[in-house]
Amino acid sequence: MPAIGSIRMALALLIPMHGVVVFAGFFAPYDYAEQHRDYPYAAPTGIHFKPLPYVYGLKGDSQEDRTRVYALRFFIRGRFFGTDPPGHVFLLGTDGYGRDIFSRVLYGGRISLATGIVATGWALAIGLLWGVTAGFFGGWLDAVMMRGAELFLALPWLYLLLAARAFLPLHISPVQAFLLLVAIIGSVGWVRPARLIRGLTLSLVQCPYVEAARAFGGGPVYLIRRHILPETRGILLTQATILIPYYILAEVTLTFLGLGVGEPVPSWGGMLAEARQYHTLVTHIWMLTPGVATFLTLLGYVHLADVLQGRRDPVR
Amino acid sequence: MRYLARRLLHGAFLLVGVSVLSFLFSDLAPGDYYSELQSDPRVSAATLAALRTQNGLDRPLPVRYATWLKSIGRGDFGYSLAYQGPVGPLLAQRIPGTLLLTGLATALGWLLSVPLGIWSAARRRSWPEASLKVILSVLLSIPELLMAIALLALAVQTGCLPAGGLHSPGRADALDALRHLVIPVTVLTLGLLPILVRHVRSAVSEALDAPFALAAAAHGIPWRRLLFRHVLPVAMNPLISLFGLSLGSLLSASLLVEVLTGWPGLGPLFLDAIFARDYAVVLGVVMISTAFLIGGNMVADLLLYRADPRIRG
Amino acid sequence: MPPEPLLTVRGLSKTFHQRRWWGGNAPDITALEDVSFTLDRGRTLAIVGPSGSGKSTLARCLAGLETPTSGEIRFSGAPVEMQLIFQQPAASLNPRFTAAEVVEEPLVIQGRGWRADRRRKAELVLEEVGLPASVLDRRSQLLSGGERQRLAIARALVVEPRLIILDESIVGLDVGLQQQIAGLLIDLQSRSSLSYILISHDLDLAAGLASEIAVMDHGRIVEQVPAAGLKTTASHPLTRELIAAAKVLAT
Repeated sequence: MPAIGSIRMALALLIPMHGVVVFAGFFAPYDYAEQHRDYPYAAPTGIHFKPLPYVYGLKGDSQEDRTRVYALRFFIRGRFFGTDPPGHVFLLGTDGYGRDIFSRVLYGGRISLATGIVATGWALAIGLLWGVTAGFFGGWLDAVMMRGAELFLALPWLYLLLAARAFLPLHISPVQAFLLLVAIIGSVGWVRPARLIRGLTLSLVQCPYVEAARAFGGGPVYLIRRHILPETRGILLTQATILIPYYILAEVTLTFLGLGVGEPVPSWGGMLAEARQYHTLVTHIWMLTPGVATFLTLLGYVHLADVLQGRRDPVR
Repeated sequence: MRYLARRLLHGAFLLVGVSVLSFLFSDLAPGDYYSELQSDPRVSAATLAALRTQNGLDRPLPVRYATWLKSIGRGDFGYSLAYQGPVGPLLAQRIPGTLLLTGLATALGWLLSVPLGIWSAARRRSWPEASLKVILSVLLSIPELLMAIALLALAVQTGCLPAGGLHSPGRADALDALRHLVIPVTVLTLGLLPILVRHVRSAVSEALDAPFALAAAAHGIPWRRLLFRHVLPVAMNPLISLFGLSLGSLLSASLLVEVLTGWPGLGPLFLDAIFARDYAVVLGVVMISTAFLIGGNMVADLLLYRADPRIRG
Repeated sequence: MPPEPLLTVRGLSKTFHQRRWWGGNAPDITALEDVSFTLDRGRTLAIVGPSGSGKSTLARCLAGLETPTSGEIRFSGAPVEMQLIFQQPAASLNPRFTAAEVVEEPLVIQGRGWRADRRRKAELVLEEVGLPASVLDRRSQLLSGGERQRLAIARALVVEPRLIILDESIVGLDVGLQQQIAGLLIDLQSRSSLSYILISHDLDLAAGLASEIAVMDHGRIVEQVPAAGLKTTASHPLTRELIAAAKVLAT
């Protein structure tokens, strides 16, 4: 049965999400660290239409003050939307420090999405190199490499991730943390692409046209570059759509547990960690938005992966 | 028999490999349990050195590995500096928790997904099946993190289920423990379901499309018999392999859920040890989880061996 | 003093050791045993024999795809001037390559000339095999079987070889195409004194194209005779069997 929807549907979800996150500086009305100590745990600001959108002022206990009206403006102060001070527009309310959740979700997405994508690139690079080398040269090198790769599958992935993180310094700068995270996350999950690519390489190496090129004097580098690499595109693409959501989730989980990129850089995982105070959470359900954002991102990628998979094996 | 012996050898190789790698890795780690103390001005360098020597942290790597290996052989998993006691009992205390959780989730997951998968395979190209696919995709995309937090918040709100831990204060009976199990097991099972149902559906689908099944159906064999006597045994092979493959995800999900719900399994122990830099415990948990995964795969291999005559040669 | 032969093969042997590196050995396979022959410029040698007689191994050793266990191969020319055309030449072309890329590949690997030069050579060589220059930008998988055959030959020609080894290359073709290609090969030979080693299990084809025929069995050359008058001069029992099985010769 053909996959429901098409690539367009998945992209219709993914591209806006990524776009909005990449351009968080424009789409977010507030900076991620901007605190409004007068309005902790504020509820989402209601937007009213008359017909132009406007908001009411907020009182200390986050109740609407109908005496003060502020128009919702667009392209104000270099941002997509906002209001004149002292008005506030907290689309998704605020957290314990009075920071706008909507803005933080947008900025926070940067780390999660960036980690997911960069780590995928890293994992696929390793997988490609490993798989092509093992498949091309065969013999004992192949056996050793693939057995070695299996060691990475011997641990459940989260245990491996945490163990790798454990053995590295706990308190590091956000930049270091990001790079570290990418390296560690990428080291979980390169094995499957490597195997697939190895299989492909093994079968290609035996193709007559590769042998012919070898007979003309083609060396390993030429043969790999010209005859094998172009064929790996398909695998790399499908694996990317599978790995990216996996890795985004890994980053969110690690940061949630306190082992990822830390303050002051916002991230979905960190925000969810703040949401763990359940008594506050029940009355401030919007604090779960980062989780919803993660969910939507994953949904887009899962759907994309499904469609691509459906294209490779049409009869299911 | 040779097949099984080879699988066992393979598992042992993996265990040894992981142990070497983890040991190497832990050695690369800057700092150890006493590093935090280094910044404390009240503790002199000499004291630190003495503490380290006392705990054998200053001996060369191969020596430490050999010592560790020998003690493992005796069943001694090292000494936890954080808990000030042997690591073995710590692990033993937490293992049942994880096993219970993962075991229940596995059982429940398979119990639900096999019928669902079969139904889904039988009713391909129909609207109910299409909506199931959508629901499953959505379920697959919901992070367990989110599910757990949401359910726990709900539990706190409604008060009908406890929000974490193993027992409510003052109670130690099985019924209470059961109530505490509901949320963790639900989250784990819901996380497993999409993956399992998909695979069951595709395995049964493939078997249904196979020539032998079509021929049997053409012969007029009733559907139920066709399913149970002909199709399911063939679909077994990929499903048993799936069991082995999904084990890793399950254990990982369990780690997270245990930490979130405060369930006394290996997860919280692991996390605490990481923050405390208690490497003996970290190593111990790594080895145990590897052993679980390898063990689970061995069980799958064994089942495959029994179920699939082609493997027996 | 007669000119030195183009190719001299002496005592060529190849044994495949099958190793299982987890212990235990499979029996060795002796594919070639003490093979010797010479080939002059502008001549065609056919090597015939049943399957498994080592013909393909011989071709691969000559082309450099396998290293002989012992023996000597002396070729008066650069290694690249000895070209191999495979069985099913159509499969020996990368389906994603354009015809131009296929033909130019040996030049690219050898690092010869700029893009414009390569293109010109490609056009020249296509002309020689009777293909229009318009196929150059078509993907090889879109060409017909016959066109691909010719393309494979063109590819071998682009480096101006002195010797072309055809490993069962034209054997499986339909008769019309076979005749065409055979005619092309003879034509090329007369124009540039190209030498061929034709490997085949089809004695008719061999007798038609070659001036000399070597018969192989189990890795050895059991008989080597001129093609003319084969029926009368051949003495080895295997040769007589092959002659009897051949359609044209037997009559």
